[in-house]
Parts: sequence; C-alpha cells; structure tokens
Amino acid sequence: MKSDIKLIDKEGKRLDGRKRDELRPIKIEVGPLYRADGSCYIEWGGNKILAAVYGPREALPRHIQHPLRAVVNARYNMASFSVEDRKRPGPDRRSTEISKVISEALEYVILTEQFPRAMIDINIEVLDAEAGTRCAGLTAAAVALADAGIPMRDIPVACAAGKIDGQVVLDLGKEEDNFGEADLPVAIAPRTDEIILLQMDGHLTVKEFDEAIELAIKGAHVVSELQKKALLAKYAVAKEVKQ
Amino acid sequence: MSKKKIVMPGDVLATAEELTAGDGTFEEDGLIKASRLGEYVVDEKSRVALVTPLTDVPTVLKNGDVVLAEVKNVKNQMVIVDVVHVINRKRGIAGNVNGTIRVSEIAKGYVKEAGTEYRTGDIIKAKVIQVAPSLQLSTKGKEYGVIRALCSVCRSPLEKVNDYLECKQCGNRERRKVAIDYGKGHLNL
Amino acid sequence: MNSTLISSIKKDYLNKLAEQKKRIDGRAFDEYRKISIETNIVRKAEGSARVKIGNTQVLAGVKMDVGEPYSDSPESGVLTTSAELIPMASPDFEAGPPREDAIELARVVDRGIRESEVIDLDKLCIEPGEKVWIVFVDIHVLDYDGNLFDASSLAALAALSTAMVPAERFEMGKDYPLPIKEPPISCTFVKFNKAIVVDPCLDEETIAEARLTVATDEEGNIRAMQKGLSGSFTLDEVKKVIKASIDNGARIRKILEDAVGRDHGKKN
Repeated sequence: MKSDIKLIDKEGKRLDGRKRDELRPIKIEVGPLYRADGSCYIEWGGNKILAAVYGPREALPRHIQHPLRAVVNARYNMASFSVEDRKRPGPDRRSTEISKVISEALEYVILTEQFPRAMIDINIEVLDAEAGTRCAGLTAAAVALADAGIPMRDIPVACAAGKIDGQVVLDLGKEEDNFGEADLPVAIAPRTDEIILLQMDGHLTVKEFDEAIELAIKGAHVVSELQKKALLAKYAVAKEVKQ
Repeated sequence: MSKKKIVMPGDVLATAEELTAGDGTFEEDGLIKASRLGEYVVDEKSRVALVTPLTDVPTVLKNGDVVLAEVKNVKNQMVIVDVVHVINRKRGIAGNVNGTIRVSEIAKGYVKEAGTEYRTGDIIKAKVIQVAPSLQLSTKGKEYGVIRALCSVCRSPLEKVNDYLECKQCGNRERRKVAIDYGKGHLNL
Repeated sequence: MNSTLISSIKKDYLNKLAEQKKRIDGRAFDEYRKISIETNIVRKAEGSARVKIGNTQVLAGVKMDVGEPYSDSPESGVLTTSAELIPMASPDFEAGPPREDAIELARVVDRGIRESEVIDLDKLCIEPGEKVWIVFVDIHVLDYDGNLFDASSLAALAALSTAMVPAERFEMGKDYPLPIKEPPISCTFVKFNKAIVVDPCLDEETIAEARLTVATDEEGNIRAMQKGLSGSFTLDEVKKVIKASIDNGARIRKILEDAVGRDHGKKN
C-alpha cells in the first residue's frame, strides 16, 4: 500500500514523534487475574492485551497427550470491539495462524519434558488493537508463564522492526503498519538471541533485513528488561513487605 | 544453606562442575541455570543448586501430599482411583492422576477384600505414598477414607450414623472405611 | 471438570454455614462483594467498561456501524448483544462457539437493555427503511468467580452510557453521545439449602438449586426477571428477592452513576 502520508520527516521524526529506534510506551502488570494460574496485562502503545496461563494439567482429550512432554497450546483471540470495524467473535484464519506460531515459539523455551501427558494453555486476549499485537501478546504470555511458575529456559520476548518511507525503524505504529513497506516481527530467547518467531511481509533488501533484525532484537532486549522489572515489582517487593 | 539472591528463568547460577541441578534449575551446555523466578540457594552439603520459588508453581504430586480422589474401580486386592485435588492447592494437577490403593493400605487393621470398604464413585481423602513408577495412595489412619458416598441403591448421598452410612431416602445401610470428617465438606480449599 | 466435583464436595460445608446464617467468604446473605466500574478503557470501541464484582471481571465493548433496519421496524436502529465465555476466564471454559450459558447470558443482558428502552432505538434511524445505526454490545468475560449476570449487565450499561456515536467516521457530522435513558439495575440471587443469597460467588453458584435475577428501575418498578436452574422459589421468597433487588439496585445505581458521570464524554 502506498500513500501520500509522510511517515517520517527529514529530522527522522515519526508521526507519533518517535525516533527511528524508539519503542512506543510499554506498561506491564503481573497477575491481574484471579482464576488463572498466571496472568499478565500489557499496554504497548495503543495495544491493550491480557494473557492468562492454565496448567500444566492433564491433557484432554487424551489423544492429544504426548507421552514424554507437555503440549503447549496458545490461543490468540481478538475481542470483537478491539478493532475499527467490529470483528465477528471467534477464531478466524489469521488468529489461528498467530496462535500456532506463538505456541511453537513458547514451546521452545518451556521445559515441557518435566510434564509428560500434560497440557499448558496460554490465552491471549487482544482488548484494544493498534499494531504489533502478536509481539505484545507473546511478550505478555511469557510474563504470565513466569507468573505461573512454569519452568522455562528463558523469558521469551518479541518486538518488530519495519520499513517506512525507505527507512528501517523499530516497532511500527498504526499508520506505519498500514502504509509502511515492510513489517518484521521477531521473538527471541533474549539470553542467547535464538530466534523463536520470525515473520515478514513487504519488501526488504538483504541489507535492510540485516539492519531491521538487528534493530528488532535490540528493541526486544529493552522490552525484556521491562518484563523482568514488572516481575520483580510484584515478587521481590512483595517479599520485602512480608519480611 | 547459604547465599540468597533473586533469579529469573535462564539466569546462569553455576557450572555443572561446581554443582548439580536441583529443583527450579536445569543444566544446559555445562551450566546450571534457573528455570523459575525465585531465590537461589545452594545446599552446601549435597552441592545442589536450588531455586525456591517466589511465584506459585505447578501442582506435582509428591509423597506425603493429602489428596482427594474419586474411586474408579474396585478389585479384590486393590482400588483404582483418580486424584482430583491436592488439599490446600488451587491449581490442577500436572501429570498422572491415576493411582491405586492396595488392600493392605486401606486401613490399619486387616482388610480381606477392598470391596467391603470402598465402592465406585466414592470420594476419598488419602495420602500419597509413592509417585514413581506408579502412583500409590494410602488411607490408613482415622483422618483418611471416604468423605462422600452415594447410596448404591438410589444414588442419594449417604449420611454417617454411628459406624455405618445410611441413606435417608431409601433406608439402605452400607459400610465404608470413612474418614473422621465424613460429610463435613470442609476441605480448606 | 474437577472444580465442579470439588464444589459438590464443598456443598455440605456451604449448607452447614448457611444454617448458621454464614457464607463461605464471610458476607451477609444480602451483601454484595465490592463493585468497581472503569469506563472508556478500549480506545477502538465506541464505548467500553470493565466491571469487577469481587474477583469476577467482565469487559463490555460497544461498536456501532451503519446498516439496514429490520423490515418490520424500518425506523429503528438495531441492537445486537453477544457474550463470550473465553477460556481465559475459567479452567472450565472451552474455546468454540458460544454454548447455552453464554447465549442465556447475552439474551438476559439484551432484554435488560431492549425492553427497558435504555437506548432509544428510534433515535438511531438515519434514513427510514434504508439506513440505521447498528449497536453491537459485546460481553467479554475475563475472570469468572460467579454472578456473570450482574457483572455483564452492569458492564453493558456502563459501556453504553459512555458510548459516542461515531458519526464522523461515516461522514455524518460530529460524534455525539449515544442517547441513553435511566437504566434498570439487575440483582441476582441464588438459593441453596433454604438460604437465599445475593451476588453468588462461584462456589455458591455451582451448588445453587435455583437462581433469580430481577432488574428494577429508579422508581422501584420491576423491568425484567429471569429464573434459572432446576430448583424452585416460593412466592414469598420471590417477593423478598424483589424487595432486596430494589434496595441493592439503588446502591448499585449510585456506583454506576458515579462511574459514568465522572467519565462521560471523556475519551483517552
């Protein structure tokens, strides 16, 4: 999609005033839900997303059980009022695909072999959508998993980079997503920088890709620190109060 | 025990030469790493690295757990049950919930046949006495045994009267190995 | 699942407490849990509200679109209410198309809005027989600890009360507040072991023999009722429930007014 909107000005300032390597504001809250075994609420720019974890628990129906490890089942869902034109409730092809790639990404970091025949359900509910919901959703899901005490080899985290007006920038906003030239959502295990989710659409040269993925990974590391800060705010502070 | 430090999943704690990986940790590429958010502790005697959790953790059955179970099948020498709940835990159970109570573990006294004490559908309170290779429970002791049972004739709840259970609907009387708090339903859930 | 079994075991305990006029969470029979209402929390929605009653949490969103009216009411806008019991809210909820429970919930909320004419649908006509506003109320249950009826209808009312008609998006002038009339407030009671309690928590709801929801308006008149579950009420009990609904309704109306009055027209 091409448009006349100028997405980035001569000084490198974007529509919402951000610099090219700047994230939208991010707020993370740990444990807002009562019934779930672990939960997280994230605001990332205009995105508002809740993630909840149930399990590990007996995998049902039994035929989905794996004899040697837990099955990881993420479900990404958009509330019907979360987008400009009301979305019909329930899964569509897009949310089914996103659920699949997020499940696979999270499965890599969870020590699933500790829970044979069990399943771990991760529910991601997009309440208000702006752009980059899969990255924000995965980031929230990772915090909810840590909140649920589910053993992981790392706390995964996601961030996107993209291309607007021929320039590689971090974390596309709404108009940038609509009118930009490329979007590259990436999720990593931040300690090793292993890439666990990678998608791209649009048009990038190999050189631009190199630049974009480096930028996305750098952004993910910033988000990773916010995840840890939120977890410590709940648990380390709670502990001090107790003592 | 010594050294207390708050760690996150993936934090490197030690090398595999220094320590062995204990609860809340895992070994990867010769390193011991934390697998959950908690306090890093080294058991100096056994040289084991542990992370004591600060978060809630999955419910995994272990020896000594007091559980509720539903009787699925009664054989001559054993009772087959599904564990449905661990007392004082909110979360569901991760892993196998199918266990057995051998006839010798039903009560302190001699029990000849399991069928005289338990029937299919009974809800019992029991203690876990073995997790691997198979899940084994025991109901020895007065706090363990049936806490809720239905009349085998009309399926109404049975009430405890003296040392037997009675159906207020049809007058049928049955016996069970009952727990001391039969029918109280106060589970500290 | 197991939680149903656990609740059935707890039944005896709850019954015994009820005989002593006590409840599992220490409340009096006619006492609600803490209610809080936040409005305008979803920017993409025309109106939205999150309601918490104790640990129960419900988010309602209002979306509006322009479409054709029904042929039997060519000069009226269209109201559509749906509810989703998403698996996030409870270990027992499953993904998939709405089941009986979700449909009953949506219909009870819908009736509370429609029959009491909270929204003046005639004012939502753009061109008779051709173009009218369609109002979608979507109930998203986030955390389930009982009493979804009251939480959902309160969330729907708060969302509608703060909704802005998106006229600008459809090139029909400036956005303006959705015309709303004083809404009825619904109160839900359940009965078990001869006790009748208001605002059931999950344990109480699971063992309940009968349920009654009564919506009353500010004059203390009855505007909607729904009896549920396989038990029964005596006429005397129904009358007591109605009286308690009027009393509680007045208090909840105040909470709603405070929440929507404070936030009205202000979008973040």
